[in-house]
Formats: sequence, structure tokens, C-alpha cells
Amino acid sequence: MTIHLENQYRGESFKAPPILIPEKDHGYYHSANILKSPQFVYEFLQNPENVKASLQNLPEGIENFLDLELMKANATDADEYEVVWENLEDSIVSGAISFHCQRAPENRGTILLAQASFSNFSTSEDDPSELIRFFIKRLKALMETGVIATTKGQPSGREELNLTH
Amino acid sequence: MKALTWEGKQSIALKNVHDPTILNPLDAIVKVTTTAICGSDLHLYNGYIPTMRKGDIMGHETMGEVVEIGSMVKNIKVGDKIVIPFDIGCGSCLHCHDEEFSACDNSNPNFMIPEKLYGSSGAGIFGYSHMYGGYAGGQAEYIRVPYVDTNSLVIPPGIDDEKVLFLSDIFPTGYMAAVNCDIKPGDTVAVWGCGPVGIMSIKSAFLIGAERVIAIDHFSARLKMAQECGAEVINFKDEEEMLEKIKYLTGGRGPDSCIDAVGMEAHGHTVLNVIDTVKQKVKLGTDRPDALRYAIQSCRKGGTVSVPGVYGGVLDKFPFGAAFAKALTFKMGQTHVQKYMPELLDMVLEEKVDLTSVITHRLTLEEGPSAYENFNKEKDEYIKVIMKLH
Repeated sequence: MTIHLENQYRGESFKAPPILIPEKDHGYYHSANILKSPQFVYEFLQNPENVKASLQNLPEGIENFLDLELMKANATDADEYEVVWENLEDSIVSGAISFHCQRAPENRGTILLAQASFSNFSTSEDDPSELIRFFIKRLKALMETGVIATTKGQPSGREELNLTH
Repeated sequence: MKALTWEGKQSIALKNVHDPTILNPLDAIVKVTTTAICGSDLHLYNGYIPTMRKGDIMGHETMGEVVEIGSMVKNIKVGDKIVIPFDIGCGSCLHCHDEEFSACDNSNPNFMIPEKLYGSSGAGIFGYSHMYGGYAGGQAEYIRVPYVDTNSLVIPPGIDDEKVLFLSDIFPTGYMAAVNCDIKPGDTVAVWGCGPVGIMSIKSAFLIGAERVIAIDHFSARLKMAQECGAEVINFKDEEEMLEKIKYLTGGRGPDSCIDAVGMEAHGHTVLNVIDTVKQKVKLGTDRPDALRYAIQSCRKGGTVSVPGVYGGVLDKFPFGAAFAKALTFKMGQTHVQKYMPELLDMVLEEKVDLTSVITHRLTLEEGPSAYENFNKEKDEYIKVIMKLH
């Protein structure tokens, strides 16, 4: 995967619109501050490779029920964008995630607001909120750094070697 | 490779483990030349920091030679000699951009654990529990350094490791503690704990311009070291009325700022500390904050309490009323090491400060397990242990 990274974005001084809390029954919602321009975030979110990369190698206990396809992407206003991903029709879990990108206050990049609504979970123990949180956090990491932090594959004494030296 | 691993409470082993490999294109592999045991490693050793797993590689004060780099690394090259900061910054998030590296948004793969415990996650830290990312530490022959362009300070050729190793943690930690005190000409700073971070806080307070430093501890060798740095010293075991003595020494006002370089394992003979100790032992409490209580009680009205000492949980009998009544300012946190490294390297190279004076033991990695045991038991003799490799 190759991700083009622009220079870190601080933009110009800007008074941002308020963020409104969605209705309780609207599903799961998370947000992230990303040090990139809204235009960059908007373009990044439309790339299926980026979405796929952010859902790989999830930690134990986090089940990936997302099998997404891009449904909608449009600019709603100057520096405000919307991207919607929906689970494929044949997925066990049905639902969608909509992203709204807007400029952060002052010169702090972009606020990414994500609202997710999913149903038909296999067990009551599934916590969609955890997965969505991982998804958003990893999208942010990919956008800002080009990589997702990992320790998978690093050495530890749990795999002690029988060496003589 | 050989590495020191955490095997359980008060158990460190030397093990043969796999060599690290590049896991991300921003990584580097470093051949460790010198590493140290930090006082905060003893919090892990004694089992007070949660989320350690048997087999975790210890160590967060490390330097060495870069032997391999990932494909996206720009500023570091193979052969560079680098000091590695203990905290891991991604270099690209808002916090890193604002030089708040220990608050990095992206470097902790286990961010969910601190989010649940603390509300949000700070940076990953080498060899310091899974809550801080579960990164393998530097008490090993090799270490993987993520985001190496951000997490490295290149050392000019010909500089002895001992002169610069402590730029990885204790010097920037002591320095940030002093900077956080907002020291003004004529100020008196009191420092609780004369371990390595306390000693670096004393040196830093003087470098920044403190008129006087009062150092408090109960280990005579550590107090002697503090005295050699220019501090006036108080052995709290000999002083039943320590607060009165500090007040007397500061014209009745109290110190302008107080540094707690002790953290969660305070010693002491107060009733509260005895209660803390019992509660910590039976897991009804997480921290023994007696030094912090004293710092709050001693500090002058309108002064600053700066906390480089590590705390992990919820503090009991915390005199917040005193802090409020005296209008104190609190500053604390894991050090933003990368922010301070370059200017502190200049001070070392210009010989404005000598960091080697805290070293009491120069050992090998093989001696690591016994070094932990001795460091934990004999704090008067063991002040700073370094281990030389390669």
C-alpha cells in the first residue's frame, strides 16, 4: 500500500462550527482530530485500499464485521465533506458508516465525525463501538503517519530460543 | 539475541530471544551499545504497573548504532549513533507537532487500555507495560525503534556513551520538571527524592537559575550526591518536623516550587504512608503518594508543584484542599523527551553539565537480573546502573 502524505496541515486561523451530538438512537459515533486538510481526509476516505488497510491485523477480541463499499462522497460546503460507506448486501451485519469532515478550530487540521448504524449482530456480546473506534483511530494514524503502530512480530521472552550462547 | 525479560513480580531473567525486525517502514533496528536501569523500572519489577506480561523485554534508557532502516525513513541512516527517547512519538499528530511527544495520538497500539483507565491514551513507551503499547525495551542486544526519524538524537562521532545516555530519559525528565517550575531569579526549589531523576532535577533547577535547592531523602549516599550538586539537604528520617524545617529555611514562606521525583513508591514513617503501604500490599491501593503530600503542604502560596515521579492509579488522602487554599499550580506527566534532547545535548557537549556523576555501577547485560535485585534492595549503594553491550 502506498499512501501519499502531504506536509502536515495546520491551515490558517479559523473559527469552526460547533459539533452537535447526534440523537441517542442514531447508533455509534466517534470523532478524531486529524492533522491534515479536509480535502486530504475526504480523498483518503474514498480509497478502498485505505479502508481495507485500517481493518487489518485487529487485536484479539475485536471482530471485524465491516465489509464495506463506498456509497456516497460529496462536498457539502466549502471545506466540508461527506463520505458514506455501507456494508455489502450479503454481509451478516447490515448498516453504514457516514463520515463528515470539517475544518478544526483555529489551525488544527480536520475534525472527522463518524456515525455508524449497524444491526443483526450475531451475539449480544459483540461491541460494535470498539471496532468503530479502532477503525477511526487507525484511519487517523494512516492519514497522519502512513503506518499503523504495531508490536506484532517483535521479540519477547515468551518465545525463548534454545540457543547455547 | 540476549535480553532482560520481566517474568513476574521481582523476577527478571536473561533470555535468548529472536532478533527484532522492521515491522513498519518508519522503523529502524538499533544495535544497543549502552542501556540503563531506571528507577521507574523498579515500579515494574515490584509489580505496581499493571498490564505487564511474562516475557516482556525491559528497558527504556537506551542508545546504540543504527543497523537497518525501513523504506520510509528519511533522516536517519545506517551507521548513525543515536540516543533513543523513552517515549515514542509518531512525529505527525497534533501533539507531536506541538512538541508534546509523550501525548502522541498514534504510537500506542493498545490505546484502548489507557482510554478506559485514564480517559485517553498517551504515547507508547519502550519496555513499560502493554498499557503503554507493549513495545519491547532496550535492555537487549538489539531494539526496534518505531518512527525513528522522530525518536532519535544523532550523537556526533567520538562521544562516550556515558556522557549522553541519560538524554534518553532522566536528564530531560529532570529538566522538564524544573522547566515546569517556572523558576525565577531568587527562587528556592525543593526536590523530594535524590535518585537519578531527583539529581537531574537539582542540576536542572540550578541551570535554569534557581537560587537555592533543598533536597529531601533518607538515603545518605543519595543526599551526599545532592549536596555535591549544590543542594542543601534534609534527611527526613532525622527530622520529625520536616515541614517546619523547610519553612524555617525559606523564611516562613515555603519553597517557590516543589518537585516530587519520588512517585508511587514513597518511603516514610508517617501514619498515612504506613496506611498507603499496607493498602498497596493488599491491592486496596495503587500508589504511595507521601512525597507528593509533603510537596503540597510545603509549597508556598501561589507556588508550583511539579511531578516527574511516576504515578499509576488513584491517590488516597490527597490534600487537594491545601492545594486549592494555597492556589498552587500543578504540572506533571511523562516527559516530552524529544523536545528537550537537542538543547540538552548542546549543554553536555559544551560541558555545562556532567551527567556521568550519577553512575554507581557499570555492569553487563548478564548481570542484569542481579542488578535489579540489588538496586531494589540497596538504594543507598545502587543509584544508577548502566549496562554496556557490544
